[in-house]
Amino acid sequence: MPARPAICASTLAMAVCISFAACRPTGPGNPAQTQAWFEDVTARSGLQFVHQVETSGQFLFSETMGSGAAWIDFDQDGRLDVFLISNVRPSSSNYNRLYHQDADGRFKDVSAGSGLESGGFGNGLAVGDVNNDGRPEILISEYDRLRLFLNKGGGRFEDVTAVAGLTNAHWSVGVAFTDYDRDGRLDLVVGNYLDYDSSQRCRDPRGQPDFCGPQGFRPTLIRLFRNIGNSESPTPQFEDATVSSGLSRAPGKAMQIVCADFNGDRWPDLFATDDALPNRLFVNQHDGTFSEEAIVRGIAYTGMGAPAANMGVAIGDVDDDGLFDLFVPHLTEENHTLWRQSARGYFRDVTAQAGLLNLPWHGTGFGTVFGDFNCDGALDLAIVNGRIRRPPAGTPKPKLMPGIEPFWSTYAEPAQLFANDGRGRFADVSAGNPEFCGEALVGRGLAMADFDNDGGIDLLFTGIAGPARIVRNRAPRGHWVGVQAIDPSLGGRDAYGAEVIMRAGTRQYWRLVQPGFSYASSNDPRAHIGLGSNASYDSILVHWPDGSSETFPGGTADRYIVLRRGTGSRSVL
Amino acid sequence: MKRLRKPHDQEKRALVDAALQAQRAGRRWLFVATLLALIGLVVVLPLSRRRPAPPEIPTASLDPAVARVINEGLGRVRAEPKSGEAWGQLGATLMHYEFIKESAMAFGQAHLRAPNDARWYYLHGLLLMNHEPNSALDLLRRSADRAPDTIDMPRVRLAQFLTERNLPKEAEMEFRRLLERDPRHAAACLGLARVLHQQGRGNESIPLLRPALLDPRTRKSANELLATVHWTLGQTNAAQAAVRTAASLPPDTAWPDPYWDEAARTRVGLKQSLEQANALLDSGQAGEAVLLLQATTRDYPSDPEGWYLLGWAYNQRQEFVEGERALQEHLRHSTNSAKGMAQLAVAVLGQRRFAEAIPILESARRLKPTWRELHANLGYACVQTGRLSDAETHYRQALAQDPNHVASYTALGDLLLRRGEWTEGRQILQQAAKLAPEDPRVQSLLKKLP
Repeated sequence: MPARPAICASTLAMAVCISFAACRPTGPGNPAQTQAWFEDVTARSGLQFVHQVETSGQFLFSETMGSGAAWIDFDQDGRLDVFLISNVRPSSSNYNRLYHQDADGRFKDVSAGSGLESGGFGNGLAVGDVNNDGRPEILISEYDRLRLFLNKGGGRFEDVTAVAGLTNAHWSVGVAFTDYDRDGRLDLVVGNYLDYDSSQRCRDPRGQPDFCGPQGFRPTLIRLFRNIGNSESPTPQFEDATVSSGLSRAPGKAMQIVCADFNGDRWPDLFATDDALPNRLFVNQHDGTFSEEAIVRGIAYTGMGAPAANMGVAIGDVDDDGLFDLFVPHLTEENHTLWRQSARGYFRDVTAQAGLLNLPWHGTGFGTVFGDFNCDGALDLAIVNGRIRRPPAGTPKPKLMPGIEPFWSTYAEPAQLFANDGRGRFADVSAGNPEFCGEALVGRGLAMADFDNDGGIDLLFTGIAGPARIVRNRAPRGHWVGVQAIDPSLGGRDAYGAEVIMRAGTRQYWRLVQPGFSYASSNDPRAHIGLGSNASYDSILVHWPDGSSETFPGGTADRYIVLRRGTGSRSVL
Repeated sequence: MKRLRKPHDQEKRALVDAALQAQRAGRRWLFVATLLALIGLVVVLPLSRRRPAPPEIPTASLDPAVARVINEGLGRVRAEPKSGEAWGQLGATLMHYEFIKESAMAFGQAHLRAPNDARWYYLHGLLLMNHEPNSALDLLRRSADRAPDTIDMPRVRLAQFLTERNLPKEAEMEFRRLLERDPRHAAACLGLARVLHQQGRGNESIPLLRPALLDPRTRKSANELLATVHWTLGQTNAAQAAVRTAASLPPDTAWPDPYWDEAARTRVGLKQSLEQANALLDSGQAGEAVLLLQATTRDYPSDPEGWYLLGWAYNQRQEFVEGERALQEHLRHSTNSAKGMAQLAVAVLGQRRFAEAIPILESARRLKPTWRELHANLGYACVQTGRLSDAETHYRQALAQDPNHVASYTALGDLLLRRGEWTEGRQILQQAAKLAPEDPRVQSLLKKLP
């Protein structure tokens, strides 16, 4: 046993250490880069959107869900526009907003007369051309319904939910379009959350009213709506395939859906992050059914075999091995998880190895994306945070983003940015990026896009009862290429589910054409690839959603290219 | 340009003298400072150890029961400021109510005064695991080294924490220390198997898992890990079998954690009572839940949740009159409570007042159209009142909301058989049998089919 004085000394030292630790301002960590990657251009962009939520003061769980954001080029002018939603009663005068990006890069509110100017308890957004006419539709997931808005052209949309057969009275959040049966039509996956009773009241440990967590509410089913529309009718038709597909056999509490080929068979699988439950991975069986395989593939639980409060999800190949990896943020009280795909279809928790465990500070993460923000060839990571419970006593208050309702300021947390060192290890560069990470909000939606087409990935993010913001990428950048993969036989729509593999020198870059990831949001459907010092690329291999593969020739970097299915060289795998 | 003049000897000597003087003065100051520091240590340290000020905790806005236990804890350290026990208990109490900084301070005092008490290092370690991992690791080590052999949780937590932090060698060492004492230690077997699997040593982990596969505290997790290990080894059939086994098992029970359990005794208040009642109801201990909730509703008569759970507990005990009374009280405080209406309807149905239950269920359904039970109970009430066509609609609505609801398949199948609609009745019951092959009611109905 150590001598008594030694114990006292070390204990004293520890107490001093704790007290210093308590005094240290919490917040994002040290900068690793010299110049900020992002500048806040919200004011000069003309985007004046403040998220609305009907704050009852009764701490209704549904109020904490927030709402996502969507990038959508609704008029096909080559510039991405913005659609933003609120969480209000349908009869509210605070309605959802559509912003058109003009040629000067400014966003103009074009909601009036668009058919989208209505309210609702909006949570999630999906964008996709469901009738293959080349114009993307908008799907909103709400507390008690879905709404599908058909893009009729000329900036006008029509609510076709009922005629399209989309009935879902459950509380849905994450939604995504994918062609799971390879029939050329985009189907809809609806991540239902839980069966909530709004009369339920919850308290924090001290007995004060606070928001409920997911515990105590029954799980629900992910709904799969198969697109059965035909080319003669512009109005899409869906049938509920939840039971026939087998999805009904595995209920859960879905937050976000990601559709991608998880096992390398070139068929889209469905991954759902589940709140405080094991995540679900539905593997496509090629016959309209799915098999749930999250546990065996190592992605149901954290590496410790425990479920976590899985919220948003970022997808991308962070270690350049040609296989995509997944990052899922959790609560402030937990550690986030990075699952690396170590062999095709098998995932391993590498959070610690990636430098993402026990960060100096982390929040309750929702929206999250992998993007090569400085085009150095490695995918970086962005997260927006916002608590769902009141913080413990004495938690330092972060600097607030102006315009947040006072009630919500308690739950506000700053966003975070992490730089990838090229080997899959991340460093917190939040402090060097004050215009994205410097002010706290109750962050929820995060959507990335190169809205000004300059080759840098920009970010649009939302918070509960606060202003939406756009931060423009101004990072010193390497070379880059943007890829739009389209299928001319399907109205020229983006080929959701396509995998783009670019080869440049000794490296290859994997990207997925699928805007549905992050949290409740829809991203730029184009694949963006940072090439570092490579001023050109050698070839692009595309695995199309129908299972075919084509190779396209190399070219010069620093531009957007369009790859049309059927115009490349057939690749035999 | 003016040349710099070399100093004369006299000046040199003066400079050296001045330097020596300054050095001597510096030494004197150093001596004085050291002396003062020593005096400070001799005087201040014992003083600070003798009379550490308890933390300031604003208790005015807290649940009165919570405020009471916190004030009691503060009172104890004021009365016995040298007591490690009093400080440790205060730390544990404050930890439960999320006064993190104050709790850490109290634990710090406990370590000073009871340096060999493993409890406070353990709880302090748990408190800091998320945001002060290095300190937490040190505290857990101290706890594991001081805990008696009969209390293994500190070392289990230490080993798990090392695993999580990607320190596999240290984790393995700690798990092996547990296994040295008990070669069939299920938590250590599971933990070590996880470490080996993460290192790509799946083959070694499978035999290790055997004891964990049988222990109710680890068997579900162990089967899930086994499934993952088999899968990575390409043994897909074995993996799927393990998944099926895991799915059939109830959640693992908690590993004994006496330090935590002892500390949890200071958890009081409405939230704690409701959580405890829910846990009792979930484990079928409705009688105990009733006793607890009677006290809770006495202490917090205007809180609707206590009345709701009390009504539910009575319903579980089939004491429907009492259940109805509690649920009416719940609805008086929470008029739009769909769950309250749903349980009230159960109490009314239990008293065979079928027609009365229908409007209650209808009201609840308007609030929560997605609840399968509301539709199913409406179906049941309609069957009992002879409204068979309405009953069929309600059962179908229940199944539209939840296509896994065996009770609705069974009831609908029964209804269809009674009406002689054999073909669809058979399909519906077969669907029920697919979902619940062992369900005796489904089997008996299937036997009735011609």
